[in-house]
Amino acid sequence: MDDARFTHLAYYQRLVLQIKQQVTAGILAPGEKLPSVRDMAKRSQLNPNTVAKAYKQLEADRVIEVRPGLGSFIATSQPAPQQAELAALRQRFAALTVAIKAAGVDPATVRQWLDEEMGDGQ
Amino acid sequence: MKLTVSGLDKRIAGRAVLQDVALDWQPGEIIGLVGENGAGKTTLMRTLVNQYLPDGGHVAVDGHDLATAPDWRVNLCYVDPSQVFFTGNTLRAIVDDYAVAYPGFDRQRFFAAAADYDLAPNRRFRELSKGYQAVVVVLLSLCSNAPFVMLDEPFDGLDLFIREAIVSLTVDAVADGKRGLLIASHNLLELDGIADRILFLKRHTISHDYRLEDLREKAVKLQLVFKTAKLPDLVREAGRILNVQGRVVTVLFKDYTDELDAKLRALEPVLIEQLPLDLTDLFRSEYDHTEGGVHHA
Repeated sequence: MDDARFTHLAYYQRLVLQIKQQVTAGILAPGEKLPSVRDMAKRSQLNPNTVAKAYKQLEADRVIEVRPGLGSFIATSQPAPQQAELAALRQRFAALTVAIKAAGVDPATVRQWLDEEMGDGQ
Repeated sequence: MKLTVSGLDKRIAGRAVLQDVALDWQPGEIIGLVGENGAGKTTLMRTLVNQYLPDGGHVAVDGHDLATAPDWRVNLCYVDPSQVFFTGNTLRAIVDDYAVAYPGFDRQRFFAAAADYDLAPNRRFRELSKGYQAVVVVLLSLCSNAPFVMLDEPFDGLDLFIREAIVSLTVDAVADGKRGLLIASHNLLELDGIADRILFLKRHTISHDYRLEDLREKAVKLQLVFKTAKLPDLVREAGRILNVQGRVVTVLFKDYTDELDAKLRALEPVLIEQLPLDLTDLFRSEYDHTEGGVHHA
């Protein structure tokens, strides 16, 4: 929860990112059960409604699957990004690229960043 | 179930402490009540449970006015931490008293949770440290099983371990949606992440009602530098300037849309950088305070 890169986000968005990060890093394996909303709320010291909202978002992003009566599990198949999500990410990437170019960062450094960011858990 | 407060007034020694206070509150919801010391937080809680008689207005649960239907008061629980009548009693005796007042009182849960903190039933309240007294007050309030529970400065002056324990207890208590909490604090940051809504008690009344997650989702704090010496009108209109250092301006945009982002970028700022947003920023902007002039509640 304390990742400095995410402090400008709402708490539910931070939790979504944190879980996504744990999935890509292999800390959370496909099929693994997530704590209940109540347990996650206690563990992360967050309002249960905030945790529930994060879980809903993760389900919509197909990172987790809800099995009625059993709980929430990390999705067994890697979710293929949806068109709308892909378009939104592309737009944000474009905006970031503008900022990077404007700051005069050379392409080699950017490639290195990309490798570092994409490399984890691959 | 729903608790509704309308037009609540309270005068103490000829001085207005509460004026026209209104709020709606439902189980499953954690409301933070924030105000400076002396703003009337405790008075509001005491008036809601009729410990103080209101001079005007109504407190109702599902439409039943608590003044004329006192049976419904059992739906509200407030253990006044500054006026505990049971300091000389053992925990067992205190629980016996509360079980008389609250028929749904969960003794088993109380003693199980108390045991986690090595609080035996024969311990006397006044023998406990400040932190453990705070835990007992919170436990009594939550184990009352009242759908509306008020906690007055539950984290004040407590160490991290006790604070975490109290947050866990409160979070656990609302998770099934059957209980709502009203938590008073003079420090907004203490309620960050915990409260669904924040009510600001200011000048005797509730001045603002915010949903923090929504605010944080929409609000953006940016550091901007423009080529021109004069700040573009768009920045002044859409945002609130927190700080100016030469040409570097720090601006808070409460509702930062993609459209606004595009408009700002069209002005070709030399620098546009997002800064971490903390609650004091949102707060400060509400009261026209600039950065550096720290303002709590």
